[in-house]
Amino acid sequence: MNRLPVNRLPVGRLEELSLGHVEGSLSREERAELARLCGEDRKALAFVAGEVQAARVIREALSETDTAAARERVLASLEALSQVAESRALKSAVLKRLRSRLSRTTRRLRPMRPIRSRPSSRIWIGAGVAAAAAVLLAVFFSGGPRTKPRRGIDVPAPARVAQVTSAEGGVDLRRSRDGRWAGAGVGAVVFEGDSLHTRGGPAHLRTESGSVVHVNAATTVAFETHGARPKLSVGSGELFVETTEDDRGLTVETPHGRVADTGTRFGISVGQGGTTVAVLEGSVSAWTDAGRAEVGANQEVLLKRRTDPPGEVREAKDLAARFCWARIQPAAVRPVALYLFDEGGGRTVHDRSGFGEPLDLRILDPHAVTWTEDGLDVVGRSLIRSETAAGKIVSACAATNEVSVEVWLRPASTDQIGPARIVAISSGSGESNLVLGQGTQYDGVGTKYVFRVRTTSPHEPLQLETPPGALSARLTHVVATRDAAGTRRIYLDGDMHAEQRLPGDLSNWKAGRPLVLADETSRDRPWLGGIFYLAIYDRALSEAQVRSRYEAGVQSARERR
Amino acid sequence: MDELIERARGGDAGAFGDIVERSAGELRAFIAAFCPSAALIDDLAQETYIRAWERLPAYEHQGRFLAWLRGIARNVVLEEFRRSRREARAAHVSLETLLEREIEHGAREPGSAARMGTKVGSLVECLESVSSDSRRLLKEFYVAGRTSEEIAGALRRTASWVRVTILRLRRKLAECVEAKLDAGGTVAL
Repeated sequence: MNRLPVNRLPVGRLEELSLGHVEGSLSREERAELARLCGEDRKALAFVAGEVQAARVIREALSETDTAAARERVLASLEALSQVAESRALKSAVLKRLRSRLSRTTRRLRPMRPIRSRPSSRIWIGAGVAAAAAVLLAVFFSGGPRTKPRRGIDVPAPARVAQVTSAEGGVDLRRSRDGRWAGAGVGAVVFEGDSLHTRGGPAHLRTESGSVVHVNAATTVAFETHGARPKLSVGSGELFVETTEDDRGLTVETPHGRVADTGTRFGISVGQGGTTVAVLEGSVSAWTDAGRAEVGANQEVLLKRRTDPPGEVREAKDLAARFCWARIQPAAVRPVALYLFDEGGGRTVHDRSGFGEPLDLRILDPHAVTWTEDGLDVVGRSLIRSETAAGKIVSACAATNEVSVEVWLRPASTDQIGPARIVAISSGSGESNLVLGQGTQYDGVGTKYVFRVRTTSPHEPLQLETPPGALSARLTHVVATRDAAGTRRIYLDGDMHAEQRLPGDLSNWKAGRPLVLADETSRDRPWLGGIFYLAIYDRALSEAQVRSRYEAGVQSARERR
Repeated sequence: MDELIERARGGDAGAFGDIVERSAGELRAFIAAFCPSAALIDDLAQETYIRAWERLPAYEHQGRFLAWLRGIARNVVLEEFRRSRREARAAHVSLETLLEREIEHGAREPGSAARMGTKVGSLVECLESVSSDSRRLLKEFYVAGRTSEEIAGALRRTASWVRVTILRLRRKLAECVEAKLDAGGTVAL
């Protein structure tokens, strides 16, 4: 790499270190080197700061900013604002219009419109370094004169069919446009005509209509559409499908026959001996060229050959166990992460859910917390965070498209805002998957709970807020839920206090973010108070379940007295 | 835009919603340049719009609306800097602290909102001109937060190839921004 002196600094090295800093991959020695360079030379510092800023802007600009989301969020806040400040600009007529607008159907995302530049005597990254970079650019681009950046040509993409929401053992995708297999990861979009192959473990996908397709290891699935419905073709291996209402009529083709969903959860195992179709809920129609069978809940049928009629429909046993790889949820709701705060001391809060690998929490500032008989009091600025990423919560919720957060807590005061983070799945360097917080900064009101869930909705991240005054500094049972249809609710002591529907799914949740309590990882949204119980579910608790859990908690408290 | 502003000044929140929708992308990119945590961009953008709504009656058409909005955002960002500094007085000056101070220093300079707005706008425009493959690579690195090792694995390339390619793209973007700033033009909105 070419290196030019800028105050005797090798620019190439500075660039490499800056990139490593943005990437977060610097070793301790490299960090020390970069800190030394920045501390000794102002131009180097300006260069690296410029690189950091540019990285942030690139990140934001390429994140396909959801402008409609910002709109709805602001409108919702204005509405909330009006509730505490009637003397301000909002009057009842405006509120009516706001509500009307908020209830309208979602708009399509409007892409960010670039703005045109105007003359400026300043440059992006500092005069000396930029001049050197320009020389380097000339070397990198054949030394010729500067040319206008070439506009990329985007080939129109085929229709999206599904997206990979988790892949436990790696997946390969074969794109229809070039027929080549290539590795893919979480977030990969499957288009019409593409095929997916799972390697060492299952993968989970969500269709455009919200259905979930679980693909077991060593299975190849081709994705097509039939009318507006997905059509999956499986040569060998195993699938488990959970369809939404919009995907009624989804079909699965195998070498031995065809299955059409009529609103259900069902599994398909394709082997040399035929195709077994097993239904956990609802019913499906199974065809061969010689006949058809209706298969109901807890039933199965074997399709041996296309030329033979379907076999006898018989009772299917232990389906949940047979398809356990698909993480089929049992009827009883079990948390995917559970904290009882009964340790009584120490720096670790243990995950007692028994679901997957324990996601224990670490108290980073033990001097700022007090263990009590009932739980943990956060009395000073303290971050409590999982030692590893909350991947198990993310993948479980992405598979069901639902989430619930249940907390018994006592806020230390009613003036905490930010929202002050009670519970979040969030990374300091990235956006949050989920936030349950107290108070809003825009109006300075700390007497409300705030619930944010990152979704693919064009209106995300519109936050749900309880009315002002709903929060007080007393022991409270708080449950925030988000169901597969997109309805979010906040319950306080068993009663629903806020509700809003926001379509979309959770497939854009990032698995690498930790579970945090009492602050953001960036340490700028502290929350103080007592936490006595925390459970996170990959299901939306129903109103009855919330009520029942509240009453059970009250009973438990009484028994302890 | 002027018509929307006029309606919003008259208390039409729907019109203000339209303004938000039109300007949110650019405003967020502007805030992102200063904001140490992406998690805060939502909060700071929200705060900016609420203040803008409250100050709309005082807004006059003497300037561009986005520039006015950026001025509000700059104040919100500076308040956030003050707040975080107050809450975290670290005795040890880390690399991150050093960089944030430098960014804050830049934000405090007179006229910084307009200058940064122009730079951000140019960079956003330059990003539009990169090829789709390059864009995908940038997204993997900057948006998805994948390391060069991870990207290299997916692309069946070496990590050093990924790093060099991203460095080249960064240089190309820097050159593009510089060219736009040199060439001049007007800022929309």
